Amino acid sequence: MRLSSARELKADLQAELAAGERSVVYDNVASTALRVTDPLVASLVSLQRGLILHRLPRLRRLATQVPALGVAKLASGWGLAIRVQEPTGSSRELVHYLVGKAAEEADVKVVGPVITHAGSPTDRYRPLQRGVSIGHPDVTAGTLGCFVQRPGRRIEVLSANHVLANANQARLGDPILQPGTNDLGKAPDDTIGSLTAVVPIIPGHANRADVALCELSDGVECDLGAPSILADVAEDLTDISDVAKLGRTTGRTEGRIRVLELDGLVIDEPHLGSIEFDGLVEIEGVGRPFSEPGDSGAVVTDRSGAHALAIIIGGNTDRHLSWATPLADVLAMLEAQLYT
Amino acid sequence: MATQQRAREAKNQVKEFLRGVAEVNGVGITRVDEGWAVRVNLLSALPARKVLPSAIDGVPVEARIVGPATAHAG
Repeated sequence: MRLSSARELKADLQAELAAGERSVVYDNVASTALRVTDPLVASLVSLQRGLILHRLPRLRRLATQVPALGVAKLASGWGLAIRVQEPTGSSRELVHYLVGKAAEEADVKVVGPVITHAGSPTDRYRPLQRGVSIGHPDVTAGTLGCFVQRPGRRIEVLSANHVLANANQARLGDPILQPGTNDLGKAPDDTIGSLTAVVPIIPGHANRADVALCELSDGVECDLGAPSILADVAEDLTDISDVAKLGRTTGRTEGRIRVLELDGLVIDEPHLGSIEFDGLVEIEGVGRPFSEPGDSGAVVTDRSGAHALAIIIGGNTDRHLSWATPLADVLAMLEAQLYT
Repeated sequence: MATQQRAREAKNQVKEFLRGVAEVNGVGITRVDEGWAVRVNLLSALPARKVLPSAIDGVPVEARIVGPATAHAG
């Protein structure tokens, strides 16, 4: 097709997609029965119904599954460019529809999760999102790992004890800043909540976690869909090799799990000295360190970014090695659930 | 070929064998080409008097110098 036709088709389909999303949102918010006659809307409804719907922020998830459209130079002229983040069953259905509309003159690519390059993880983020700078006022900075929920409480942020609780030195109720102090975060302007739970790190014992929670203050919102969706927590890491993480210092990095159930690893912690940990996961960075100072608290996921595996607590940058606590163990200790 | 469970059992034996050895910085299990092995993390080479077996009950034992670990606050 001609370039002008490709542009017109793209504009028409974008309008259709937008209308479809509005229909889906209306369907979910008002809990009304939607008469689905348009195949595009049917695909969107199918996508949305495959997700958990009872919280409005989750509607943002839809955006990661609806294809992005553009125009593409094809061998035979111009066509529709279709970019999909995840090749799920429902998104395939939608892509088939779009390719049909382009009379097969389309260039389809699965591009994987896309992370914004507009801001740095050290910036101030409101709403909050995973992978950004966070910390207690007496700590330099670490990483906001993920959002969790305990019965009867507001949403809480999970990160490392040595990030949120200054390695046992903080008191419950202390303010937590985003960004952390190394990234110019200051109380009260950058306070996002207060320290609500700490799993103590005990010198001379085999510790199984370095983790703490911060309950978000009224009016501090979190974006559960940014920069990608965490769908669940993997209970068993046995068959997982390729992983990724989002951290305050190194951003998104990729690695491979090298060791499981690592006992007796000693981590040097400035306040507490040499601390022994059991039950860790060892990850080797691909081509560069998987984590560096400032990345503690970051959630390790599989490469798709959908399945949460572990929390970074330390590493050896020169050897590209990082160590993490399995997230399922951490959540069990805290009696918390991943807030998705 | 060692199963994951056999590797866990061998790991416990290796931990006991290396208890108190200052050069050791963790013992875990790792995937190898065929099955599982015990992985010994070291700060530096083991002293000559402490010879690590290459296998325990058919489970391979491998060692790697990983150096010291530090907490990753910024």
